[in-house]
Amino acid sequence: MRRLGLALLSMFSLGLAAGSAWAQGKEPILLRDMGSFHVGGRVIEITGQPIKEIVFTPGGVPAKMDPNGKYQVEQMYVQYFLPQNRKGKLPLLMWHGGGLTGVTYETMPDGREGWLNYFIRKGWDTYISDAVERGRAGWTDTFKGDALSLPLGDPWERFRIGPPGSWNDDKTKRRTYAGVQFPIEAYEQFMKQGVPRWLTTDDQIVAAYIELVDRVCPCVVMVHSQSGTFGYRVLEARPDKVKALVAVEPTVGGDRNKVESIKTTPILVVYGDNAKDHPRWSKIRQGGIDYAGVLKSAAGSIDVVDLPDAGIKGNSHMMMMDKNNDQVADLIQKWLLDKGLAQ
Amino acid sequence: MWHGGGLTGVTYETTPDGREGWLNLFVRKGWDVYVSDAVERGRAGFASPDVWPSEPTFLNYADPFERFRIGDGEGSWNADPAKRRVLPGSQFPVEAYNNYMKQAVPRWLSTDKAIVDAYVALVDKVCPCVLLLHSQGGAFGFKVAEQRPDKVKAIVAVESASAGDVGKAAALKNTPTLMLFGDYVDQHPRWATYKKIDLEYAAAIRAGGGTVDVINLPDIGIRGNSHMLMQDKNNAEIADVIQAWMVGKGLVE
Repeated sequence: MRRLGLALLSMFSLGLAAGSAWAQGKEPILLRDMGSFHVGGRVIEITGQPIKEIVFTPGGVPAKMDPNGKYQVEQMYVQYFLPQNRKGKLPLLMWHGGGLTGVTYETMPDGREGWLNYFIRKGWDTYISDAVERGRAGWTDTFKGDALSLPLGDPWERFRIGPPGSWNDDKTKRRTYAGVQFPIEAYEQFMKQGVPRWLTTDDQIVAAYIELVDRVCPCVVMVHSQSGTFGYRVLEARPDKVKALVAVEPTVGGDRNKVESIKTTPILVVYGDNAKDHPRWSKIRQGGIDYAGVLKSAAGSIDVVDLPDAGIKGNSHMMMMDKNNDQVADLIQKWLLDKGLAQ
Repeated sequence: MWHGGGLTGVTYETTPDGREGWLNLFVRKGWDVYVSDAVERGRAGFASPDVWPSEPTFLNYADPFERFRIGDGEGSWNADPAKRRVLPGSQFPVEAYNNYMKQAVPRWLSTDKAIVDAYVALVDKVCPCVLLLHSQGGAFGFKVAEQRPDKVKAIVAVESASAGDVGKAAALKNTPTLMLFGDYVDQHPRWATYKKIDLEYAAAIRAGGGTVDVINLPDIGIRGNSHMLMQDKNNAEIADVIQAWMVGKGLVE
């Protein structure tokens, strides 16, 4: 591949924004290539619908729109960045959580560098994706049920920025957990990253992720929140191809009946602060701890880290966006180095 | 780089058959490049159904094949690739048409104002700048330029699907504009009409003291281009035509 040398900051963060990597005086990122593709999905056929005439743009030329015919559905989007100086031994796939897209790992809501840039800088071939029906994957009205949109205040409490009852439309009246690391001044900017989600598409999402893994792996998979369950299901389907799993606050663990088949893949599970006490996260975390116990008793390899126990405090559910996101990424990078997955 | 209707910024990324797109090509030429997803498309996200007063629309496989001048008009698409009638000499990578259809996203027909407002906010954040527009993005770009003529320093409109407000075109008198059209445009009733609208807008810019260059690619010996000419097999050649124009306008060191 030809060398593609460029300063990524001009694409990811607004070059003039105060928080950009460029403004922070960081070195340009050199790539040997970057690109994108869609993968997975299937073609369906719609029949028996009336033909419409549509004016796409006011003042534009009417077009005949026949809603019958074959449609592409259930594909996903992937964008990759391949550093000039590769140090990761395998590609690193970064999968986002529910109601979000791959933007989760890009520039932070307050303009700092995200984990995408961090892991490219560490020399990983990095693949960021938008799951089926999210973001650039596109969507169709063939899914069961309605798409769910999040009210502005919902993630504030559910993602442990503040405790239950702490949200207020008035910025000055919002409460946070003590010492929270989330960049709360940019919370509204974070909410611009939200996309609707369906609650009926897990099987389609997993099918597309498996096609992605078949295309670019062996690899390391990093998952967050909702994609925890996708990561475990794909690992169980392709244990030979997923060589390590980094699960950042996964909402669900793996299948306890399939631990035998995945025991050669090392797993790191990371929980942020206040997870032990939050009414919902305490249950989610306990489920993850219990699953880890089952996997370990089958001689599996799983490390569970509660960040506060490692001296890293104040992290929300969106720890890749928190102000100490580099500190959390360092912990993950060290684990990957310890497992022999990077130079 | 602003995409067209039913699509996202992916338009400018890797082509459906895996070649480099205009994003990479213009990065290689040394431009600071900003690719966007318009309001309600792709990563921009979309609002719950009670916010916008219309339903989203979806494209079937036949629609862009016939409407974007890949196939030879109505009835040219067929589920069997061997039976599809492609325009003679088409530069579109027809073998990757299915991958192209994976790039499509739903669109609403009632969101133009929200889209233009967000583009104005983008221009206010990162410009002065050059706008490269495609299809539906053309109409948005010209409307934004009419509102921010001091910040939009040049426009490259690639097969703009309708243009701005003729009554406000004089605002672009200091914004040099290039309008670019592919092949088979004059023979296609729909695209011939769009081109007429674009040329009327061009005339209005000129009447207001501005400059518009119009390039019909077949007139300079570049043939076979579909509406998706940034993905066509000769996309690098067309990028060079655009680059030469921008160099000519003093926008490149």
